[in-house]
Amino acid sequence: MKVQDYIDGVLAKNRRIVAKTITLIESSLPSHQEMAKAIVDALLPHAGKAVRIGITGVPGVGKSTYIESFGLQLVKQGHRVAVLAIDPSSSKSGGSIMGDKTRMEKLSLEQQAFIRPSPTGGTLGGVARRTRETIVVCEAAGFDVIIVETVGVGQSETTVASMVDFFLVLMLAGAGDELQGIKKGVLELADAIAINKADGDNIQNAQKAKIEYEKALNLLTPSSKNWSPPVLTCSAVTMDGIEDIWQTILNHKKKLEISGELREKRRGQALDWLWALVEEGLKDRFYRNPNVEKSLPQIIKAVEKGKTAPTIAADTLLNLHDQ
Amino acid sequence: MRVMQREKPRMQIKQRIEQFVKREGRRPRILVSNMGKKCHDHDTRQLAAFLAESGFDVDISPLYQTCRGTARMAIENDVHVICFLSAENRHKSLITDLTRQLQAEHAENIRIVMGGAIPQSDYRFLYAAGVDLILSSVPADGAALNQLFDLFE
Repeated sequence: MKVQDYIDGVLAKNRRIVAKTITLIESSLPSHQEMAKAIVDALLPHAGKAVRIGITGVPGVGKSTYIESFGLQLVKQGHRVAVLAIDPSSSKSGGSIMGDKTRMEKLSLEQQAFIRPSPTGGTLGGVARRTRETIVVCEAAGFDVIIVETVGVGQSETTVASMVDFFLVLMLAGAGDELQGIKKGVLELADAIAINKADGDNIQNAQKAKIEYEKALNLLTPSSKNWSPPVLTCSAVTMDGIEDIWQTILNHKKKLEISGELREKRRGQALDWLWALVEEGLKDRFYRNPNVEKSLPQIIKAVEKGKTAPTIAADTLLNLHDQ
Repeated sequence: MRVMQREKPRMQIKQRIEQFVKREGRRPRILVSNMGKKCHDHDTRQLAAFLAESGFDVDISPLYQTCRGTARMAIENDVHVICFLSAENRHKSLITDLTRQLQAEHAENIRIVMGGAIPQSDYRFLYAAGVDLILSSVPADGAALNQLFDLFE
């Protein structure tokens, strides 16, 4: 397939070609990346109209089940929903298991939904570039709600927060120390916190947790002048609170749109994107540089053995690159 | 010595996968699907873990997946191969339906692997219907893994 075939296919909302385009974006081959660049460039004018939502939470918080309920609700209201799941469950071998869809039974069969789990195995930092470009492709294919799912244990949160309009952090009640297991940094990124699994015997605990998190958020300076992050409760099983969260997201969008903050935010994100690309490109060039490639094993060995100081070795490598 | 003999196919598969990544720009990706009313959930999970450990990117489908659902998931996740374990005597009709669904979506290039309780007498029918490989035991051993990997190349 040629670049134009991909572009036409995405704009025609062809599911298979959208999937193939994402594969191209995720590919580590330079020739694929060249094609992906051309495709994304052509699709960019068709993108930008969706509501972009990042969802995170520690393993076991019920992200996939939440997205199943949330996504189905949106589809019922006539939206077209794309879910991009960043899956870090890679093994030593580099392979990974992507089981998100096992908990998105109904949503994964919806005509108006598209769910794509992406392995992270083996690529460093590449997730950022790939996910941003994938968002563009999904928007060009007419999806008007984009959900980026990530596990709340790594550094991917900051990256994901820098590419969405709304960042939702899912939490659980009754886990002892309420702030356990989640970094303060992740709370700072939140546009809302939702206490999940607020059903049955757990409702009271969820209410208690809600108050705890409200206190915690009060101690943080909100990142926006026009928005202070609320704490909500929800249940993906009873559907309680799911609609409230969507209304909160829409409300946030409206407020930021009126104040001009949304445009400002997206402009800032374009710059984030630019710098991420530059950094990634620099790293890539460094490792692909023939001088560096040739001398690298030797220099590593010398540092390991203590023959060369790391500071001097780093200088040598960078000079080799600049030559 | 004997241990080395047994380890050899697995070492080989790792090398083959590394070469594949260099050539294709991504890992070989396989969908392990649970089709039919009775599902080998435990077996599919075990197979999935084994394949991931060997270096594949593995997608797992929801339980009780239909053929249409399997075809769609394979296309959406852009996998190279679909693998499913037969848990009941419906594998013949499932395969016919699955290949039809893939054709309808212009995705007949996705290869199909089967495993589970399949009588030898059905092999001919299944191969003719579009199955590319039938695993006689699951999880597969190193030799079968190499055979499976042939489908990716």
